[in-house]
Amino acid sequence: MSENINNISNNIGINNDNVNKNINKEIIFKLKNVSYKYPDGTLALDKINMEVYRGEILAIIGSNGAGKTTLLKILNGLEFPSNGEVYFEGKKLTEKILTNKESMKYFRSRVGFVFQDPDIMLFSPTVWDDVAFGPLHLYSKEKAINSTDKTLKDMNIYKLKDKHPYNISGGEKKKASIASVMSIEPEVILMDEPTSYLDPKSKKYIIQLIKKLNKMGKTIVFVSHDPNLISVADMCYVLNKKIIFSGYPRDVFSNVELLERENLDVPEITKLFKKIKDDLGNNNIDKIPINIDEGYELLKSILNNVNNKKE
Amino acid sequence: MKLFDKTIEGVIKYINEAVFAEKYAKSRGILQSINPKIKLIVILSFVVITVLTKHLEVIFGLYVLSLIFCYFSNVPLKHYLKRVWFFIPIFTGIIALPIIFITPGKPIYVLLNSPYIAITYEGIYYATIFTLRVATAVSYAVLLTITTTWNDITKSLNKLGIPDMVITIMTIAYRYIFLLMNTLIDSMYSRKSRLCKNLGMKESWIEAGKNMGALFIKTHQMGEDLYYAMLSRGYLNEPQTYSEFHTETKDYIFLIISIFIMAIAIIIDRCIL
Ligand SMILES: Nc1ncnc2c1ncn2[C@@H]1O[C@H](COP(=O)(O)OP(=O)(O)OP(=O)(O)O)[C@@H](O)[C@H]1O
Ligand SMILES: [Mg+2]
Repeated sequence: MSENINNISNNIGINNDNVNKNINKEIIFKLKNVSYKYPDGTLALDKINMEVYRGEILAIIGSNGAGKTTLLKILNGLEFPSNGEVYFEGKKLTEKILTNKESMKYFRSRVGFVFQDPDIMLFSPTVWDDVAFGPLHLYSKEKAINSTDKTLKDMNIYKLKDKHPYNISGGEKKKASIASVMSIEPEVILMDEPTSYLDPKSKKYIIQLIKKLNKMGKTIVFVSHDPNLISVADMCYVLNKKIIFSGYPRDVFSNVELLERENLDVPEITKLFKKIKDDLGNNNIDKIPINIDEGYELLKSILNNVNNKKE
Repeated sequence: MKLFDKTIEGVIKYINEAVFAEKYAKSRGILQSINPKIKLIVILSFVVITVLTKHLEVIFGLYVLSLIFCYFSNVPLKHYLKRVWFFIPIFTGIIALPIIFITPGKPIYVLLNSPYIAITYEGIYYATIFTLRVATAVSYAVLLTITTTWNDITKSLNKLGIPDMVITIMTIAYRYIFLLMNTLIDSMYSRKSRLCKNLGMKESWIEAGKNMGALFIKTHQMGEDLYYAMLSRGYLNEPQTYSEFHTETKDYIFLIISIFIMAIAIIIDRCIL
């Protein structure tokens, strides 16, 4: 999609990620000076200002205890800020709005939340019941049944539908918990470490799923420590009670001091090219690749250059 | 399954299977087809009548009736008996056992002369009636839970006027126990894997006891998140199920027959015997 543009910008040295996206910068979530203190006095979030735009993939990263999960809970209207305001589609999100049945249904059908621990989300007698739980509370019965069957089939776990959620594997639990949010067909999906508990193939599947959902127009906000997942984000926020950095994944991965300080990891491919650039002082590398696709393009152009010179 | 040769692991797995699987609530049978609200009222009435009945013969009749219900609800009798009698010895043993010795009456076997302790005919009669009464009441309660999904039970209670907040607390408690048990089993496994040996029955219960404290703290947080996970998907203190509650002719027939049986039981118990 944006490969050509990226190639051009590569050559002229402009960081031009995601040119095609967020053209109409429509704000879905807006946080103004949000602070959150747990009842025991722990300050988990400190004066957060941020926006979430429609159609973007947003990564929230940070070390353990940085407040990431707390932030997602606030975006999902489960906790409310001790100070500051949260706006959803321009309207202030309050406890009162979410106890009104109509506005609650509107919000809950628009915003889905995949929890970090699938055991928390799977509490029904069968996987089918769990996937149906959301739609059943939000939509009509027929719609609930249809979207449940559809989601289970789409996610390739229809065969698990009659199983007790306790009797399935960790990865299957994770998929079932994602399915139980997908069946609501929300526009914004909040995900807390979506690739934890998963084997490499399932990890890849989730990354592809996130990309696919995003192509379908969904907005995705995820928390993750997984550099391969972070690299697909349009935007990153690095959190440590405050937002200490925001920018493209590339900017995060190239900020050595930040990475050190916040215990963040970098994709293997980025490490490789960084090493090449540092050791060989290779001037052809302006923009260090952060995923296989970019690495492939860059390597191809370098090799082509070498071949051309030989000829 | 005998209770006392099982480790805590086995017990948890058993409860998981028996209580949370809802296997028979979804199979076809008489009780499954009755409107849950009417079923709840009828079965609770049977429990009340069982508790108030004086005569062994009538209680026995009510017990047999519960087995008949069970049979026509396609619940395997063995499974049903197991679930009922699993708890009976624990609850009644403690109370029924002393009754045998302390009830004055015609002695059958004298244990001690001073102080005078004897097994009496009346003692055995009352212990039997007590045990059977508890077993029958439990049988009806189990019949309800075995043929009805948890969601239908809470929804019926809600329709019968139990407040939303109570329903939510019940629902969370139900799921929380499930979570607690599974967390317990996981931490047992992690311990077992480090101990490199299988725990015996007694050790397993001792280990579980040691784990409990830490576990409660951990699952307290989980309980809160559990509620959030329900809220997040549109729950607002009001259970929803995909079954509609319609009252049909068969529900009325069931209701009328049940009332008739209850009336006969009361008449026999209070007027004839
Ligand atoms: N229920 C709670 N009561 C008190 N303090 C809490 C509670 N939940 C979290 N905290 C504290 O708030 C801070 C932020 O927690 P949070 O769960 O948001 O971190 P996180 O970034 O998601 O971490 P992780 O990467 O480990 O999931 C931590 O210091 C944590 O100890
Ligand atoms: Mg977290």
